[in-house]
Amino acid sequence: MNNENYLFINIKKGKKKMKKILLLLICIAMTFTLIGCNTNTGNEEGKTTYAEEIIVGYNNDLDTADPYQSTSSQTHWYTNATFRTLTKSNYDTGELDPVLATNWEELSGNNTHWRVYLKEGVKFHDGTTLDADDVVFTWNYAKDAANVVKPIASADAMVKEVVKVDDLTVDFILNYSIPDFMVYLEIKIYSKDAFDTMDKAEAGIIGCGPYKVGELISGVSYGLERFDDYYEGTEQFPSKKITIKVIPDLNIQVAALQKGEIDYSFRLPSTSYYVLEADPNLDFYTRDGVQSFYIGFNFRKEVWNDLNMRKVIAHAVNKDDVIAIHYEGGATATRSDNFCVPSGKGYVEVKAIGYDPEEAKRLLKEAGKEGMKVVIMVGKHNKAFAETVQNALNAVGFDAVIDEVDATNWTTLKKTGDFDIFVGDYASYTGALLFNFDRFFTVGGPSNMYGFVSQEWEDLIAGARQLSTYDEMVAEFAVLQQWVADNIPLIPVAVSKSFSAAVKGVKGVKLAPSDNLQEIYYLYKIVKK
Amino acid sequence: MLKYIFKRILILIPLIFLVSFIVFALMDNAPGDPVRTLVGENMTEEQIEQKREELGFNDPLLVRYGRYMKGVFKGDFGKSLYGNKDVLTEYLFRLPFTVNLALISIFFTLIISIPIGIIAAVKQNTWIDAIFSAGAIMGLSIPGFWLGLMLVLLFSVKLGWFPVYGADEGLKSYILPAITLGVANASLLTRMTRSSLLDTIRQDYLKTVRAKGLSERKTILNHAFRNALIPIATIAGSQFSGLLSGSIIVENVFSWPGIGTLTVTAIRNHDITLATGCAVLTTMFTAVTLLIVDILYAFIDPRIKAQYTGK
Repeated sequence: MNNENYLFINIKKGKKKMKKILLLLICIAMTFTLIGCNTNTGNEEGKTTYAEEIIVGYNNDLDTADPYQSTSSQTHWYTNATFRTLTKSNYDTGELDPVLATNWEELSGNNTHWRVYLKEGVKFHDGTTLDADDVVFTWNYAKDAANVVKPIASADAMVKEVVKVDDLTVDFILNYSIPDFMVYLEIKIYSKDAFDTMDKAEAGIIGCGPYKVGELISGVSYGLERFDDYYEGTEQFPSKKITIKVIPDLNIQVAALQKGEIDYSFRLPSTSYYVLEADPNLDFYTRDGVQSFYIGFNFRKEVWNDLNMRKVIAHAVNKDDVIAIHYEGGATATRSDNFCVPSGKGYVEVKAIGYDPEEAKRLLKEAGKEGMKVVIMVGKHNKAFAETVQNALNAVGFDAVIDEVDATNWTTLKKTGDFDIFVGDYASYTGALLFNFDRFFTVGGPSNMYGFVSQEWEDLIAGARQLSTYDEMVAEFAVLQQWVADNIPLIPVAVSKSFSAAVKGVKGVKLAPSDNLQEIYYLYKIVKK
Repeated sequence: MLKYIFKRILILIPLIFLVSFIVFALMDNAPGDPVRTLVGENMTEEQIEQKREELGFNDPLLVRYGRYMKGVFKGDFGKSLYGNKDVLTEYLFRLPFTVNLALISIFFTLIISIPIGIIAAVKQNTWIDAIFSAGAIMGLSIPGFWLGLMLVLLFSVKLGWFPVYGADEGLKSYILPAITLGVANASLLTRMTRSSLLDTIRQDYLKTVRAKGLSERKTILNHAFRNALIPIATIAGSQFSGLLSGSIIVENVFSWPGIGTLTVTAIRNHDITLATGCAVLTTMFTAVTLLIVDILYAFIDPRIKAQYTGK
């Protein structure tokens, strides 16, 4: 071998060695890069594995997976997983978040013309893509009581016309100024194409949420299956299936949770609060809720149109007693003087008529109503509340009796029942300032079934509707809250707290302040790390 | 026999009309407005009226009933008010859960109550009889929902032998609900077996049997018990048909997807179509079951067979 050849071979060997070293370095670099990029997975031993299925317990069967065909809580929270809305009031921040709407603008200068821009590339579960036609269709279809069971509230009163501008732009032309109109667009969007090609029952369950409708077994369970084409990807949703088991008895639900037969439940008996909180095998969650508990009046009876008689009730009832007796000493609800909930937009502290039994006795005597029979209408779940009210009323000189009615007759009886006062509750969370006040106290409001009529109120609310800026509206909203406290169309008593429990290992719990708002689709369980 | 069966099936037709009309009329006159219950506080008065018209609630009762029965005789039991589900499909899906539970429960009832009833009768007025009688009274007195909850706490939560809820785990799922349903039935049947057998034991013909030298065991089982069986079969048959209409309490405690919960939910929701459908179908099913029980009598007692065949 000559020197030239020797050199050539050595150079070749050197190049090969260099290549090997370079390859090794690249491999090492890539490995480190991959480790750095992926927080969930590491080497094979450290790989995170998620349970394919999460089991949630709930006490009612799903009547329908179509969000507009039922008023039930379960349909509402179930379809939170299968549908998406244009906007969403964030119950943690109080802000309005865009969902299917990317952004919006007001074009008229007086809050009567809102333009909404839609997200591009959003797929429905039937494979079609979201566009302006779907929004226009949903609005027109779901506002009509002939088509649905739960129509979009006040749709015709608020909106004159919904117009497609282009494939991803929709205009809402309003009948009057609504500074917070976008809050009302928390509406679940149907696929128009689905309605064009399928029958109503099939089309009504096609949404574009992160989960699609899974197996529905009557009386047994209802499932959610992950939608792999979800427009935001599936990284946030590690569970492939979520199965909701129907467990009507809440005590059995507690037992199933403790035994690990279900992974999670947010519908638990208030009596189990401390037991679950202390259970070392469970993770316990609690937060302020949005359910308002109140005493209402039957204004169809003349006696309750007398403000002084309403004051008698307000003075007679010690709210702290109700909290202590009915709400586990305050664990499951807190005292309230305002019908609006503290986490709601525009909430202010109000000065309410407080507990003063002597004043109640005086006013009752003055009205000449001592010994008057008062029928307290109540559903089973608020019985202890009603009993506390009954004792309080008897203590100031009424003859109070309880009329316990079936929950399913509740709305009918509120409209037609021969009661004097009632103990009720309402999940009052909404980002729309006037929404609840409109419903409860204005003539013709869907929740004003007990006949409250006040011209002063009608004038106030009409004035509030005319306001052109959101800040003005917030200021007027504060006035309305104090008006309600002073004039007592109802007596707010408590605001709920929500609680839930999960077996250890279940993550992604996002406890909402009411059943309707629950988002169980974030739940997942790590089985191996 | 066939003539008898045919006659019984014919009786079913007016029975269906009667039951369906009673349920339909009662539901219609029950307190509460089905449409308002359906829509909650989500519609204005005008919209509620529109919905009522659309669902046909503004038509007179007889018109609605006639429309409903026309469908029933075509095999169309209508759609539920909630979720627009086909009533017949819903019912038939739930039926096997109820039937299987009823069969297992009645099996448990029979294997417990008959031997105990016989022993209590044979050992009449002894401490064994006293214990069994006390046990039977206790079984009758215990509320089903309490017993169910206690069984779940002990056998499911503490010992982990059975599932806490549902019908997912095959036979294991049936044990606790079947026992809960069976305890009261077994208690009643134990007392029935005891008294029926005591009546028979006192009959003269058994003295003849004993005089012939037959063992006491054979005397009781082959002669006395067989004659005591008719009232026992009657009670067991009624208990079984009762189980077929479902037990709301036990179904509720054990999250059992049976007919009971379906019917009660329909009634509570004022879902007239579903409630009437459940009542009609349960009537048909129960009538057929009772017919089978009556036919079985013929095999127990030749006198009854003779009545059926007209001989």
